[in-house]
Amino acid sequence: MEHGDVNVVYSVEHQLPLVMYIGQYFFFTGLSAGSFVISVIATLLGRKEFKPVGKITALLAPALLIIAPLNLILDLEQPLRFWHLFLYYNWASPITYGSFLLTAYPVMGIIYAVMVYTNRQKAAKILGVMGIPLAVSVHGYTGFILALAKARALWNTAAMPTIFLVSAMVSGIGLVVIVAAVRWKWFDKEADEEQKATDKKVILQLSQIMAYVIMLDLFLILSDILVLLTAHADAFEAGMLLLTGNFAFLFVGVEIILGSFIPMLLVLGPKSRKSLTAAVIASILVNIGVYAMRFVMVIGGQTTPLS
Amino acid sequence: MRNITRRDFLKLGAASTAVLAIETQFGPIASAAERLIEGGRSVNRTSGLPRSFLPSTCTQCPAGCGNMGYIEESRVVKIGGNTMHLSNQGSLCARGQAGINALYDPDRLLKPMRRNGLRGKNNWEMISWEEAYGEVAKILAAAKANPNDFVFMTDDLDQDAVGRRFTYAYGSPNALGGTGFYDANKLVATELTWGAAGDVPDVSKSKYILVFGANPLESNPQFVGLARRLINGIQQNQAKLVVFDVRLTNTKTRANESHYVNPGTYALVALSMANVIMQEGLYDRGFIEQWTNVSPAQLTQHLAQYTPERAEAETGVSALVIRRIATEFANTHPATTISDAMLSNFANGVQNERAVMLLNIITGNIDVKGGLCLPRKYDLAEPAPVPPVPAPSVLTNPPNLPLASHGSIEKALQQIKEGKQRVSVLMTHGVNPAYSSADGGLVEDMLRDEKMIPYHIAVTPFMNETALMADIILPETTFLEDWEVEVRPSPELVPYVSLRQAVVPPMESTASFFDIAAKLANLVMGGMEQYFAFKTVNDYLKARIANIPGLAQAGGLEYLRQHGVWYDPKTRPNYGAFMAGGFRTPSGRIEVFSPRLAEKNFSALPSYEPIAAFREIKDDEMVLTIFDTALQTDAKTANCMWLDEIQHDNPIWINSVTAARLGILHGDPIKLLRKEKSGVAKERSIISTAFVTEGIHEKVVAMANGVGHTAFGHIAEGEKMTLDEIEVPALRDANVTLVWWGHKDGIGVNAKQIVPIAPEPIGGGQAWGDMVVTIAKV
Amino acid sequence: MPEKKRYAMVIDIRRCIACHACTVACKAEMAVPLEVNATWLKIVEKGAFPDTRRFWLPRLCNNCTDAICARNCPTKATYKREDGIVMVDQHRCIGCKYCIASCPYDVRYINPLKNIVQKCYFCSHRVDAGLVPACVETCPTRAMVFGDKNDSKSEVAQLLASNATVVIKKEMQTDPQVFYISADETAMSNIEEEINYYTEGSLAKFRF
Ligand SMILES: Nc1nc2c(c(=O)[nH]1)N[C@H]1C(S)=C(S)[C@@H](COP(=O)(O)OP(=O)(O)OC[C@H]3O[C@@H](n4cnc5c(=O)[nH]c(N)nc54)[C@H](O)[C@@H]3O)O[C@H]1N2
Ligand SMILES: Nc1nc2c(c(=O)[nH]1)N[C@H]1C(S)=C(S)[C@@H](COP(=O)(O)OP(=O)(O)OC[C@H]3O[C@@H](n4cnc5c(=O)[nH]c(N)nc54)[C@H](O)[C@@H]3O)O[C@H]1N2
Ligand code: SF4
Ligand code: SF4
Ligand code: SF4
Ligand code: SF4
Ligand code: SF4
Ligand SMILES: [Mo]
Repeated sequence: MEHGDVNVVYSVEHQLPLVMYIGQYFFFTGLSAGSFVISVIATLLGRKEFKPVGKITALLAPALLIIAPLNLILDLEQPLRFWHLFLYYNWASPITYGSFLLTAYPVMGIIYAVMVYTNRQKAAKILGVMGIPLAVSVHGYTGFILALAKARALWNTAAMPTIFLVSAMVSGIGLVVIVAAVRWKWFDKEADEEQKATDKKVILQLSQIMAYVIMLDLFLILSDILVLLTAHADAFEAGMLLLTGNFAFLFVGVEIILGSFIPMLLVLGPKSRKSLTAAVIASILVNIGVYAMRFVMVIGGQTTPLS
Repeated sequence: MRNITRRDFLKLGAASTAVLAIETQFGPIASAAERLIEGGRSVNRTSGLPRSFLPSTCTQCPAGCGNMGYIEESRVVKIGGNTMHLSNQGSLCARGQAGINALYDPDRLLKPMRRNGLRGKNNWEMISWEEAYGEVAKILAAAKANPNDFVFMTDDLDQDAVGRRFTYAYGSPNALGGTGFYDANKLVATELTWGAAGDVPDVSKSKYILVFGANPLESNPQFVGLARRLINGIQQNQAKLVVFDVRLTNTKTRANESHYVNPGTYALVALSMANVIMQEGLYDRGFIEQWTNVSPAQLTQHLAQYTPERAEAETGVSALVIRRIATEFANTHPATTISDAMLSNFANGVQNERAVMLLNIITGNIDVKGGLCLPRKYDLAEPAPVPPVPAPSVLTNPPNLPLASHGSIEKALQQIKEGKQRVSVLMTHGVNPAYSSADGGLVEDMLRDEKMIPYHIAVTPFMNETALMADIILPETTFLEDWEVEVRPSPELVPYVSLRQAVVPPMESTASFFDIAAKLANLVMGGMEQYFAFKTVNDYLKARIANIPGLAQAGGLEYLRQHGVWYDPKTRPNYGAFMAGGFRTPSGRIEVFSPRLAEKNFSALPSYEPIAAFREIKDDEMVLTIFDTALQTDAKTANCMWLDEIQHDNPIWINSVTAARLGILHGDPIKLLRKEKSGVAKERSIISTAFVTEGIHEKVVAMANGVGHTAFGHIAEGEKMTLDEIEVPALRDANVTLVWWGHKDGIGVNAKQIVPIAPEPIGGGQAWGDMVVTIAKV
Repeated sequence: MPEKKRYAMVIDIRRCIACHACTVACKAEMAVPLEVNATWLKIVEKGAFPDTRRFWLPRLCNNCTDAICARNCPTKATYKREDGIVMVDQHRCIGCKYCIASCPYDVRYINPLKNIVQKCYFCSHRVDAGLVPACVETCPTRAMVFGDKNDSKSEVAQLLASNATVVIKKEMQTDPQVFYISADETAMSNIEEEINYYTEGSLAKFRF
């Protein structure tokens, strides 16, 4: 202790209410929402070369959304009472919007996937367009969950839902790139040379789109941090927690450098931009970065003492 | 100052308190009350129905607060305060409420046990009560040929009348009480000076309060009662509170003014203030002349040597401050001092206490409203037939300690060790010298030595450090299953009697100490059975309270069983009571000049003798202060989980500047090594972590008391348990699975073990404060 | 017509001696398990030797008028009574812990034995029976005062009217109903817990 400092003589430590299940849940809904949006874009554009991507993502979206809420239920102290969410809803609570969205969205997603696979283009388009606001809400609301817990300075910003959405897009595209690349390499036996080349181009294009979304994501995160650093004392603490504090390694090292800058360089770099391997590596890194971001937000946000 | 009146009834005094208490506590609870009831009731959390209760007395510390055991399905579910009790008026401190943890301690001893293998190996054989009684009675009967060799040790002899009776009935004088552990010096000092043991500062009505070596807002023999009145004094009565201590305490925090003082120099601070008061003519001439055995001139002359300048040099308190406080103290009426065990727990302890008393004496603040008052308490009767007190032994009247009228348990231990007293049988009851005594290690060695202590009977509810060294254990009830009547000095200055009543029946096959003593007496025989011929404990208790005026008319024991406490509702504090018959000293006056001290060649006038050990203190040497906290009382509260959860550690407080000089950082492990007087063999040291603070004197290191146990079981040692490990269903509390405060080195350190046994030369009580230690990084 | 009841607590720090009796009273009254607390003390030490002082603050749920915990609870397990006391319905709570994350005061906890979220309810069961809360009853120095602040004759109302009082984190706009007289700003702020003199070891649960 420095001479004359404040010394805490006694206090108690508190439980950390939300643990990584919640982060994981955010991660999986993000992936799901991201892939749904990509799928719908592919369907809407209607071009032949986008078809495989559209199909994969149509499947991924509901599949991931079945894993996601499992995390939520596992996190409940009373998992067997999860149905209380529907029986005793509270419209003032973002979790209540979430519970209904989380039910509506996978149903919609499954029907949409059926349409896509049975080649009912028109129905797929209509459902897809209707589904986008749902997908956006499903993931956006997770941002609201944090933002509306106003006790925590790191969470309580208007940018939070948008940051969650944009990073969901990033990780969603990343996942699509990975799955599409795997399919391209090992499972797409029937396609001819030309088809293969177009498919590869589409995948590379997708990875480049990812880079631009990363830029948007970085812009949002950096503006969030800037505002945190210049706002009230608790917000400043929260900002510093990410920049120099206990979560600096995860935030700066993993989320920003490993999960954003390196992938951007990989997919935009003059040489590597043509390599599917680079795109896949970039996508993996992006997902690691986004997972880290969920960790930093959920856990980090709770570590600044409240009392 | 707050603008509106708090709890009006507190101010109205004793009688109205009683009226209100009876209304609320013993009448129906008003539903949808206009005004919520302050205390003395409890309801079930789910049904909302009132819980039944029995009032009793807390023994978690010497304050003896009135408590209530709330009962559901013959279990105590909560302990609350008794609003009728004069001392605590419905409140209980943390320790009092946590008494329930001791009652349902998962490691409680429930069956008599006989030692297997070596002493201290914690290896026991369960035996029946019949066998246990048989064995103990046989040994006691055999040893009765030399009754003097029977030694009985207890926590507080004044409160253990049964133990004392048992010892005398057996024919031994050697009933040793823990008062020798602590305030023996204070008791001796006050008795020598004004003929009564102890004092009661009337703080709620005072205007100026000086605190020396006490910490009434964290630990005090009257804790709840005094803390409330002190806060009332400074908040409602706007008294000024001035505190002298070697470290930052909660009392200092509430003070208007506080000062760090060099350790062991209280007397000089007080005497230099007295000097100023005399020099400036601010003293109460009338009082000194009429009620003391010295003249102002004589005192002025004696005190002249204690100039504020000399005090500044030796105590570290500036002469300016001393002059100012002395003047304020003398000019503000009424004023009082608060002093406690620690003030007199030094080699110069008795004189410290007398010096502080002198401030009250020369300003005429003796037994006045708001001043330092004589203790008021009822006398309990010793039921007939009264066992004659056997002739004193070296233990009860140690040579070289002619004035130590309250015994000296430390000295006694030393004498046994040196072979000056033979021991045939040692019985320990509610006392834990292996942990609480100075040189605990030495005591442990003694207890381990089967030649020195051939047979050790421990009567105890818990496997404490001392019981671990026993040959046979008689499992006793806790204070919540036990019976006794208690009288303590009343902070309200109206005497009262309080009943410790069993709020639940004895757990399993445990037995109360009264029953154990009676049973043994009737088995040992040889005449001692006649003193335990009571049919029930009720007969004994009735006889104990027989002499209390007015109680019989009020309903006697029945009244106490219903209300827990009794006092005469018509009585008001009779300030100045001494005026009727004088003080109970040989001269009838306050003996500022003590002929008894003079006769034994001690300074007869209050004086200051510097502590030798502090004179040449080196750079890496520090004075060790061991202090009490609001959460533990020595070893009494060791197994209370709610307390241990809050306090389970005692890092070494060290001043930040000193720490920097010694290169010690916060949290560093450091070692305190006892500085040996030449020739003493064993090195004794302890290791704990540094708590670097701005709140302690540069030359003092301090550690809290009450932790660092090596016995007692899971709670005290911070170990989790599973419910299956607990045999008795009544003790299965799922909380034991959550115990989280243990770490591999146990919880905290028992600092007392490095303090050498050192009785104060006049009072005989241990001089805890003289400890010089060498400090080193580990 | 008399206003509705609105229960509130005033803690006069000038009378508080940091004795932890309130903490233990609550453990006993509410069967609060080890590891967690519905009320506790925070004690800090400030200033350089010899001008050092301690400051402390008993902490508990503020039973806020605009309770974020209640607003955010998805099942309405957390709800507000007529008299302002914020309750948790033990049978309805699903243990999502969102209320804990939302509360700006860190006063809620998961009961490790029952897996339910709990906090201080101003001892509603005692209040309903006409008794003051357990912590208030036991407080040795009467530092805690409890009552209906809409009743101008109550001691709470009078204390509030005649003293400067503060609440913790007013800026959170929850309208806390635990008021402090003479509380220290450092003790009220969320300073980093550098050291912990009585407790050692971490109680925080990082469950991954
Ligand atoms: N809450 C609580 N109450 C208790 C107890 C308890 O453990 N806790 N124990 C009970 C018992 S058995 C007893 S005997 C009494 C003890 O009551 P006290 O004797 O009053 O308690 P201590 O904490 O031993 O000492 C009081 C203060 O003296 C200070 N002190 C020590 N050395 C010096 C010195 O050289 N100079 C100055 N100026 N100050 C010094 C200490 O820092 C401490 O703050 O309390 C009884 N009541
Ligand atoms: N350095 C230093 N040493 C000190 C002190 C100090 O200030 N500094 N303080 C000294 C003082 S003031 C004192 S009073 C002594 C105290 O020393 P002791 O008189 O030995 O008292 P405790 O250590 O509290 O041990 C009492 C024992 O009673 C048992 N017990 C607990 N509850 C019950 C119950 O309900 N019924 C029965 N029958 N037994 C029970 C426990 O097992 C405990 O071991 O310590 C002294 N030691
Ligand atoms: S001060 Fe506390 S421990 Fe001591 S008797 Fe009173 S309630 Fe019991
Ligand atoms: S019980 Fe009262 S005095 Fe003790 S810490 Fe709590 S509020 Fe303060
Ligand atoms: S203090 Fe927290 S838990 Fe209590 S009512 Fe306010 S927001 Fe809710
Ligand atoms: S944990 Fe229980 S009380 Fe808290 S928000 Fe969830 S359902 Fe409501
Ligand atoms: S009011 Fe009751 S529940 Fe709240 S802190 Fe006090 S004792 Fe605990
Ligand atoms: Mo003591």
